[in-house]
Amino acid sequence: MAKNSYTEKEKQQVFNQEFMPHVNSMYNFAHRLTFDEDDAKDLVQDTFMKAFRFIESFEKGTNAKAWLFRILKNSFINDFRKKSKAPSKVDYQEVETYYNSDEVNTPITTDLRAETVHDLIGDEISNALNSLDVDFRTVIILCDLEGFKYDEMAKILDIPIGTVRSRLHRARILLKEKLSEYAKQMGYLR
Amino acid sequence: MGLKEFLNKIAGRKERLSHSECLQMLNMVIDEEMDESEEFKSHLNVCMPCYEKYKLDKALKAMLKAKCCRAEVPDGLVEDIKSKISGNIIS
Ligand SMILES: [Zn+2]
Repeated sequence: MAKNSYTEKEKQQVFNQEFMPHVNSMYNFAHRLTFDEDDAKDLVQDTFMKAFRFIESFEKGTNAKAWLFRILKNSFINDFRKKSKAPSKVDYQEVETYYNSDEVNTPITTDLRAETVHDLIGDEISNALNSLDVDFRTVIILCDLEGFKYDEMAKILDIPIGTVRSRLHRARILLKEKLSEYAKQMGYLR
Repeated sequence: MGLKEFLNKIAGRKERLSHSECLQMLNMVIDEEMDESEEFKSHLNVCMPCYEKYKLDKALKAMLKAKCCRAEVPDGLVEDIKSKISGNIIS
């Protein structure tokens, strides 16, 4: 990786101008990964410390947000997920097979409609998102909340673009299933 | 020429989108990885399931963005980070 040499003043500048503006998004991401305020704080702090330590491998003017999200996601996997007792249950092989099969062409299985989505209040959407397995949750956060493109997501997650697409596709199906469950409970759907 | 192109040519509908092609494209269009082409739009005009799915997925994406980005950064976090950074420089 190309190294840039920055003076201490430049480091400070890059940090304040290019990294700090993303603190809200980073905290939101960290909170949705850990579900805990203190863990999220630690994760964000840790990410910014690493970003500062490795600032010379950051190219000024390039996508700082994607770079930071990648560091955060790696810290989460290495430091947090290790601690948690429930490992991810997503079987990537299965997901790939799924996407390549005809299942992608089957019509929507839920009876959820756009109008119903508008009736749901924020909590249901948020809870449905939080109920997803971490790998599915992550792609929705990156794509729909943060607006990353597929190629950026591939770099953040270290997976091929095809896997980004299939995981996103599957995640949305699961999210809609969860939402239609809520909508039924609330009497919006029968 | 592949079989598909050949069949399309015979049918005289070179650019028309099939239902499954449209479904494959939906996510890409919604995520703005791909432009909404004329073929895509004209398929939505005639295919109710695709149109419903398009509307639903678009509404869901907008709702996610509007409702799930509101975690408040705890007081002091930004200050903590900044002071750790300056400490880093001194040491
Ligand atoms: Zn269709």
